[in-house]
Amino acid sequence: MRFGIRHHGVRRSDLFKPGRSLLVKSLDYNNKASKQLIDMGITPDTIIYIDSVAPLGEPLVVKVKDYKIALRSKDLTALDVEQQDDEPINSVKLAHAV
Amino acid sequence: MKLVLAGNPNSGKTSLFNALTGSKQHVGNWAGVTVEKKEGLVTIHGEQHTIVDLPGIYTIDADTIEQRVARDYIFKEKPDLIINILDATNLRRNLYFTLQLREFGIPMVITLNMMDEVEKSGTKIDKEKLSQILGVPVVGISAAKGKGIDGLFNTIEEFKEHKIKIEPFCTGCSNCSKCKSGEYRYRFIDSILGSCLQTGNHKKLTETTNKIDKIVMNKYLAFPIFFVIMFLVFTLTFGDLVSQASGGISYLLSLLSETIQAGLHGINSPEPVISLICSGVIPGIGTVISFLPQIAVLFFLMSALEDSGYMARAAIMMDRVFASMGLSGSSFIPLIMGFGCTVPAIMACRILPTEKDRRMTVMLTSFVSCSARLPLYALMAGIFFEKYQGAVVFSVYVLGIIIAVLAALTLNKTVFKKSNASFVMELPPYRMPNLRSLVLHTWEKVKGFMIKAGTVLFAASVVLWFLQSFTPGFALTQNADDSIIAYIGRFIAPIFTPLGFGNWQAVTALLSGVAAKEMIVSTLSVLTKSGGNIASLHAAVSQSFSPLSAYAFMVFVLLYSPCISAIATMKKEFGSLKWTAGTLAIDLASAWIISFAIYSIGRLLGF
Repeated sequence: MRFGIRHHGVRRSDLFKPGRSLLVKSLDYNNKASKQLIDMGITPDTIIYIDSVAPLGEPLVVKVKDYKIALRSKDLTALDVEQQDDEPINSVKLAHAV
Repeated sequence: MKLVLAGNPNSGKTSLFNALTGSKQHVGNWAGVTVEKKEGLVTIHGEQHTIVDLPGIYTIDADTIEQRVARDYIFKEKPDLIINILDATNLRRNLYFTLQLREFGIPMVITLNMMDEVEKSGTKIDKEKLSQILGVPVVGISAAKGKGIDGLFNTIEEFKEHKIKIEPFCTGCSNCSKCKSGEYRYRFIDSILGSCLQTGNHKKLTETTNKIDKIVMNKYLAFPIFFVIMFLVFTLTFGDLVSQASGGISYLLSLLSETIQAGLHGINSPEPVISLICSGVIPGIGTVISFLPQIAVLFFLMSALEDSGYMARAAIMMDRVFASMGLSGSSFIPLIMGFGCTVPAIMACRILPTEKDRRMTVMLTSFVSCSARLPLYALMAGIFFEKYQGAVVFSVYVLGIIIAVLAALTLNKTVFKKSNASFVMELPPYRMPNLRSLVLHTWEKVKGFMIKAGTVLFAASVVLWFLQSFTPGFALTQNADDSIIAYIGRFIAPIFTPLGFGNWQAVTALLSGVAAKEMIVSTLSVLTKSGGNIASLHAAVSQSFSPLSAYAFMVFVLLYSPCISAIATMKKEFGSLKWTAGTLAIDLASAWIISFAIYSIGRLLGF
């Protein structure tokens, strides 16, 4: 499993864009941020939804189950994610994320 | 019984603590660290128990100081009962901490807070089932509305009377390394929620919050909205209504002073005593009390913004700017307060996540221009830069910010190693602040300010009175030229000649400014023998300064040293003389160097 700049051929910065629903597959425990992400409930098999971006471009506002948290994209690289289908917001999918 | 209150941030812990203890609480610091410790007494069915409020944390693992402090307390003090408070609208994440607490093996009561919001959303939580699975009693409350507290008390009483047994420990989740166990805990939690939680119409709760966030965090509207809100806070705090209140208090005190003076003269008290009371003690108290209205309003408004949930958004907006300086967006809140008064700004640094953030932000507050310096700026700008007064004063403020940024960048590379704490900030749903809580919070903070700043400011005023009223031979004098402080001023004045203001009146004024920045103007007025007459003060000042040296003087006042109350607060927050002295050294050095640079370059350019 690689956590590098490209992820299955897609640039990582493109993955964490607003509107994306991402399924967390695993965490890179060598990355310090992973501990904090786990503590906040971002665990394998959880779906996170990139809600929006702060006005200056950083950090990202991410929805996890019942709550919203702000995370720096640098810290999000600790996650290995799989993109969920890019559909217009589907209430079934959103029910998983929200 | 020794009770302990533990829970996530934003779970309403403070409201519950206040509801349980009322005014019987005491705020201090955990030994040797910059973390706030709250203890209090709670009366349950006629008996008093001690309760300690642990810092709001997401996990008990020893990553941060707050977590270490909480962990150590539970291990060493072995409380009788842990009251774990959860935000019931956020069960999944809150239960994570609950599971960890359970592993201590200490009896625990789970308190689900914000049940009113849960009911509104149609979500149902099976408390009995949850209690069965976790082996601890589960109580539902709404701390903000004051509901359910009786139920909590009954459960605690039942535990005390050994009517119910609480056996929370279970081997489920703590076998593997720290992170893996985190995953397992959440799997366990998800299975718990599967059988206990029936989500209702969640959308209703979060809809309003999302709508507001779309506006408040919008790329184009966010900053304008922020500036408008800050502008409102500052105009309310320093506006007419509040300054009239301050003015009224000052007036009453001067009346008091005159009356006492007359009375003491009447009974032939010795002059030094009269002077001590009427020119020392009463003005000393006066300086402290005249602060009160503004401090109270500032604290109230800041607390309201925090409780509503807006502050988290503001910190997030600022994060990018601060990240480049090695800090996080949370640091901006104390720095904003610094524009009003440095003392509460330093106290506000407690909310910052790491020791590095706290130390560095405290150091930076000394570069933010507090409101007490404004009278001096207004005086100088008014005399020397009439047409461009506003722009000149604004430039001084901006210079302060620039120096703060430079200082942050330098400190980041030298004194502080990069700590790399990740910035994770929760965006709580917008909530209407509870008025009773707000007033209680504000009162606590004002009380804290009065004790910290008040006593120091008062003592400093009395010392200043002594230095201004006595000659080096310790004889009382009405002539300020002969006073001790004037001699000190004359002695060190040469140091300031390269800066353009080597005259002893200006330097003496600067010395008095260490006690309180407002004193600079009043000392200048006294030493130039203007006797309260604005015109003669202007005349005297324009003779001793040039526009260039006046500007250099303003910059020196901006940077040189915070007032003694701020220094005392700094020492309390750092917990160390070394750091305080270091900060003062940096302030003095940068003030001298930059003033010197401005004056020298200005002279070279022919000003």
